[in-house]
Order: sequence, then C-alpha cells, then structure tokens
Amino acid sequence: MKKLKVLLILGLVLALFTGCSSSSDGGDGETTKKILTVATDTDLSTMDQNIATDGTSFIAIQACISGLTQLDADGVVLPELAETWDVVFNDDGTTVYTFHLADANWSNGTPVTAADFVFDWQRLADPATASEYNFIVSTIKLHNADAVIAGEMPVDQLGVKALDDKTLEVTLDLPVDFFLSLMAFPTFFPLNEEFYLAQGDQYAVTPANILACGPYVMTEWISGNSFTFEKNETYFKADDVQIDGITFKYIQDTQSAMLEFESGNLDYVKLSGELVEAYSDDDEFVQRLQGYLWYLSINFNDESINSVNLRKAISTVINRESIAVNILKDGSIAAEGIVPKLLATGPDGKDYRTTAAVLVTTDITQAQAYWQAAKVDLGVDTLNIELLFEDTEASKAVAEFIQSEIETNLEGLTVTLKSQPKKSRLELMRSGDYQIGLHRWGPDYADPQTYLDLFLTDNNNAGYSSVAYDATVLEATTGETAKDSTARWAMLKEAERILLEDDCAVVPIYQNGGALMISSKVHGIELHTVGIDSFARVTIDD
Amino acid sequence: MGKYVLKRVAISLLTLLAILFILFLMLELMPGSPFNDEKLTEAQRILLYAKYGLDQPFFIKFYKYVINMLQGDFGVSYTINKNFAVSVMIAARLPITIKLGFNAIVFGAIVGLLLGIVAAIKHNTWIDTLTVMISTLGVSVPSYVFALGLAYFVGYKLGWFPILYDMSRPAESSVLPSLALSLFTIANVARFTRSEMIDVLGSDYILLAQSKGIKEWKLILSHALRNTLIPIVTIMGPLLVGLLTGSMVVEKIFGIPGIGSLMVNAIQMNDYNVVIAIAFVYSALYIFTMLIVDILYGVIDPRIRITKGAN
Repeated sequence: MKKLKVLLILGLVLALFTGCSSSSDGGDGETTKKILTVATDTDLSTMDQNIATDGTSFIAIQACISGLTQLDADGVVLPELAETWDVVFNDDGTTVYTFHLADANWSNGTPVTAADFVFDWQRLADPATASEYNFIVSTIKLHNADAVIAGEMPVDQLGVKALDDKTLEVTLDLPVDFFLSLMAFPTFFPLNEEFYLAQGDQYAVTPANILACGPYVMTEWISGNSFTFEKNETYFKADDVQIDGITFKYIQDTQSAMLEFESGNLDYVKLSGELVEAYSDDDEFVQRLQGYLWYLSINFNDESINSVNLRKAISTVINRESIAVNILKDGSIAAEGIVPKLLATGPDGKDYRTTAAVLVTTDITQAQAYWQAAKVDLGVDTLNIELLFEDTEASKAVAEFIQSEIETNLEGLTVTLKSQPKKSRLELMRSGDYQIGLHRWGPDYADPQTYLDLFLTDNNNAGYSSVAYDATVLEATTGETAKDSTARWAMLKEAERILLEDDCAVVPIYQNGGALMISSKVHGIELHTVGIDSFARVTIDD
Repeated sequence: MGKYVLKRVAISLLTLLAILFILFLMLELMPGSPFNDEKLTEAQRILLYAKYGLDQPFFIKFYKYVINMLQGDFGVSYTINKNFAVSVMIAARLPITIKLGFNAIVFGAIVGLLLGIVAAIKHNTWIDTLTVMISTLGVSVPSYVFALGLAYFVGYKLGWFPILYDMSRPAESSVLPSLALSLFTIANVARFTRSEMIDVLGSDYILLAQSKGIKEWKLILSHALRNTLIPIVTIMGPLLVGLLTGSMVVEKIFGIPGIGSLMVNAIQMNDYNVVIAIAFVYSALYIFTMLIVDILYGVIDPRIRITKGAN
C-alpha cells in the first residue's frame, strides 16, 4: 500500500509539470526603453489604408504612415507631409488646393512624392478595389469622383494630379470646409506605387510588406495576439517622437486586461460594463466623449404612428440627463440635437453645438399635452408601439428606461420592447420592418453634414421626406450657399431646426462616452471624438 | 478489421460533407453581411458581393467552395483579417489550440485516473468523498469562473505564471490555460474511473487474482485498469467536444491566439469563410476522434475484436 501511495504522489507531481519546462527568463533589456503598451479589444484587421474600415486598423496605419495634414489634440489641422498649401476659390464654385510637400522618405529610402498620393486616391476610387470607404472621395467633392467610382470614367480622370514630385494639385467641385481635416484620415495617405506592385498580392500582409513614412515603423504582427511598432528613425520629424515604440496587445476579455494593467504591464485599457463603475474613482480613470449619437428612428411609413404630436410627446417625456448620469455612467452626455458635441468647429472658431440652439427638451406637462393631441390625430385612446434595440447592455438599459418614462407619464401609451443582435437590428431597420428603433450614427468627417445628410429624402430608410429640409440641406451643401462658409453654417443650423423642432423626425437621446484607464506615467495620448486617436506625441515618465 | 475501418472512414467523409452543407445553409440564412453593415450603402454592398462572389446562387457557391476546399483553399476573411487566406490564418493558430487541448487532456486524464483509482480503492473513506466533491465541482463550475479564478489568484496575486499568453514564453503561458481547460476532463474521468473501478474490483476474476496472491498494484495496473478503460475511451469523444467549447472561453480570457478565440470573433463579425472553416475543422476533429475511439475499442477489449472479426 505504501508503495502505491508513493507512486501516486510522484505521478501527480510529474503530471503537474507536463505543461512546464524550464525556460529562459524574459529579457531585461526593456527597462531602459520607453515602450507604450496598449490593450485593444479588437484585433488588427488590415494595414491596407484603402481596405480598412475599423478604428484599430486606422490607429495602426496612422502610427506608421503620415498624410498631407494631421490633427492636434484639439482637432486643429496642422501640416504634416504637406508643408504649405494654397487655395483658390473660383467663381463657379470649384476649389483648387495646391499642396507643397516636405522632404520626407519612405522607410526604404525612396522619397515620398505627390505621385504617391495620386496613386492612393485613384486606388481608393477604383471600382476594382471595391473599397468600403470609396464614398469619401465623393464626400470631399473631388472632381469626377462619382463617375470614377461608378466605373464610367477611368481613374486618371480623378481631380488629383502630381504637378511635380513635390507639388500636389487637388480640384474640388465645391468649397468643402472640412477638406483639410479629412486629409489627416488614413484613406487619403500616400501609397508608393512601385513598392505596392512589387508586393504582388501580399501588400500589407506582414510588416515587411509595408513602407512607413510616419512616426513609427511596424516590426511585428502576430495575428490574434499583438502588433508592435518601433520609433521610425527615417521619419522626417523623428526628433519629435519621444518614445521608443508601441506594443498593441489584443485582449478580448476586459477583466484579464485590467489584471495586466494592475500588474503594471499595460498602460492603456478601454473599460466596459461594470468595470467602468468599479474604477471610476481611480486616479488613472479617464473619461472621453465619442462621436456616436444615439437616437430614436421613427418609421414614417407606419400610418398607425404617423403623428408629429406623438413624436414630440416621446421626445419631451424622456429625461436624457438621467440616462447619461444614472444609467450609463460612462461619460455619455444627453444629446442637445442630432449633431453631437466636439464634432466640428465653425468658421467662427466655435464648436457647432455651442452656437446652435438646444433643440431637445424634457417637459412632462408638455409631453402629456402632445400625447392628448396625438390621440386625436390618430383617432385612438390607447396605443402600443414597438421599440427595437440591439442586445447590448447599454442599449437594453436605455430602451427599458425609455419604456418606463413613456408608460409612467403618458397614460394609454405602452411600449413593447424588441431586442435583436446588431446585424439583425440593422437589417430590420434597413428594410423598414420596425416602428421605433434605437440607432446610432458615427461621424465620417468633422462636419454637421455627416449627420444632416442622413435625413434627406433618398437617404433614409425611415421614410421621412420633407421638401423644406431637403431644400435647406442641399442648398447649404451643394448650392450657392456652399461657397460662403458663414452662410452655410447658419443654414445647417436651420436644417437641424426644421428636422427637430418643426418635424421632430427623430428623437436624439445621448452621445456616447467612453471610459479608459491610462497609466499616470503616460502623457500625450490624443483622444479624438472624430477621427483617429493619435499616439504620435506620447511621452512616458522615467 | 480492415474492412471495418474502411467502412467507418467512408461514413465519416459523407458525414463531413453533410455538415458542410448544413453550415453553408445556416450562414446563408443569417441576417446581415460580413461587411460594415452600419455604414454600407446599397451600391457598395452590390460591388462587394460581386467581388467576393457572394451574389451567386446558393448551390453554385457551395459547389465552388467544396472544389476549392479540396485544393486547400478555404477562401478569404472578410472582416477579421481582411483579404487574408483563411487556411493560412487557421494553420497559424491551430497548433496552439491543439497543444493546449492535448496538454489539458493528458494532464486531465492522468490526474482523473489517479483520483478515480484512489477513490475506488479507498471506497467510502474521506478520500472517496473528496474525489466526488472535486468531480461535482469540476462539472458544475463554468470554465469561465475557474479560468478567471486561476488568472487572478495564481497569475496576478502570486505571479507564478503570466496572466496573458506571451509569445516569447509559450511553455509558461500554457500552464494556467491548460489547467483551466483540464478541470472538466479531470472531473469526468475521475467520476467514471471511480465507478467503473469499484464495479471491476468487486468482480469474480479480480477475486481470483487476489486469491492467487498477486500484489495489489500489479492487480490494478494489469487487470483492473484495462477493463476500466473501456468506458473512459467512450467518453473521450464528448470530452473532446467539451474541450473544444471550453477552449473558446479559456482562449478569450488568457488572450491565446488559437482557433477558439478566432471562432468567437468570426461568429460575432459574420466572417463567413472563417466560421465555416473552423466549424468544419471542429467537426473533422470530432469525427476523427470517434474513429480512433472505435478502433481503440477493438484494441483494448479482445471480446469486441473477436466478435467483429467473426463477422
């Protein structure tokens, strides 16, 4: 018996070590180097700037490739690869930008030239590339953009030309106030044609298949695990880069990420769910505003709920402050209109939202009056409406709150909740198979137009159509008014007023916040509400 | 025996084809597209579908897929690693998951066996009760809880092993995940071993061997164990399934770049080709395991071999 016991114990101990083997200690050479370690909750999808659509990919691309311009911490446009530029506004509305490029090289020694920009933009618009972002060349009103994307014209007809190696000429059909800020967006970054063609179908597949002209260069990419950058010594402003490198670690579970953060192995973690509240008192807790605006989309094609008074009743009964402060608690703020805060700065130098009117209010008495009027409009005494939302924690909490606000204060009005996975929700709304849907929109560029365009007659699936609204928006963005920045800005505000005050076509609810943990030794991470977060000017304390 | 094996292989292949068809059908019916639905315009959707051949009729898509698959081409990823070959993605990650699973099953089986044997020998003592408790816990506690617990107490508080998978220290990084994954195996194997062993120990031929004066440990190893193994081999199949699904959770928590975490990601993002490929790999693994199990039966139990052979 004793022999057996000994054998058993030995066996157990041996079994414990099947997974282990003596391994060398992790190298200690990293302690003198300043490496920023960032946790991402989505894996790096692609390093190809014309194919990328998600935030993580854009952050990675922006780390190693530069554009004509860049944005500083406040979203102000600064020169980058374009040292200076001239603008000519013609009488017919066309606008010509001439960019003068700085002396900069790619990481293989080839100079960055204007032709690199031309090649990238042509590839972006080329229908053969089938880029999910090709619409952006139309957005900036690039000459012949629509025809090229539709395949009606060859790509060389696109309004972008290299006058010489260091001079890039861009022709727009209209003045576009946000054009320069969009030049900082990765889809417009340069792409060296010779290098691209030499890679065959392997472009951007591994770090060796990408050229860098930005502050960092990619040194390693382990799909599903991590991707790493080192300071790019060939970057034309290499002296401005204060750290030695960045390591991005893909961590799917936020709790595991926080354990690593607490161990000092991570400098940046995005918080979600209950962790937001758990860490909200911590010194390293950072709140940020994001560009997503959540609103209720109402189906105009459904006759049984088609009443402006009903919509106004719903809009005025919801306490948005309560949603932001008591329910979400993650830095989200109550919406004041459909255009979010910190999205765009006007020709007056001020953020749109600070000068535009507050177009949504909460007033229970008013709401009840609207509801009475709605009952007359629709010829009913009671009404049941279906609220469609996606099956995430946040949306569920918001939907339930809206339901309780409506049912408590508006007697006779009841709400049925319908929860669906995101893709299903989007499909239902796209096909018009809903009554009211909790929906969000994120900005594609820093201008109110990215929101206001949504509600044009041909653009929205909700069936909203207003002659006055269409006329105002189209005049401001494509008509004579488009040539006058100040007049345009005022007209955009008027359009928003028609949308919300007159028609109450949609009910804005809240603007997304976000919570992060950032190590107190790290400074200079630039969080952009619109656009891509930047790690170009990060410093790490000793 | 040979004919038997061949027949089983043929059935396995047919089953795999049927599974593939069902997977394809399910994905076809799923709402949304693999692309950025929130921002996609109708014109872009048409362009993208045309580029990837998604606008073709169902049977043509299926037929093309099978032909390509036989040549090792599993298509490209639409979202996770845009335009990357799925076969390359899986080939890079499969070894890690297999190693993890193998560690877990070997460790789990050995520990489970030992626990079960000890419990059977010491039937009705405190050791027995302890083993039953461990088994029950192991089967009921979700692997998520156990994995996080290990990550917190052993990885974070004690700092013995890394919390997240570190590519430069693969051996150390796989200890906690393998442990977390093995709990289910230990619990099941221990339970089955214990009950089977108790039965076997009470049978006639053991009594005969004991009366012949054979030493206890030799008794267990060469006589009792072999008979106990048959039901254990039976549950290997379901155990493997448990490991595959458990690996999804464990890989997520420990940040392991295996196919479990890839599968979860792919489902959430509608990455059709990746979902089909991994589901297919899982099915193939399972069917292959059942094939091995069937063959092992013949090896372990002569009674089965002789009966089958007689046919």
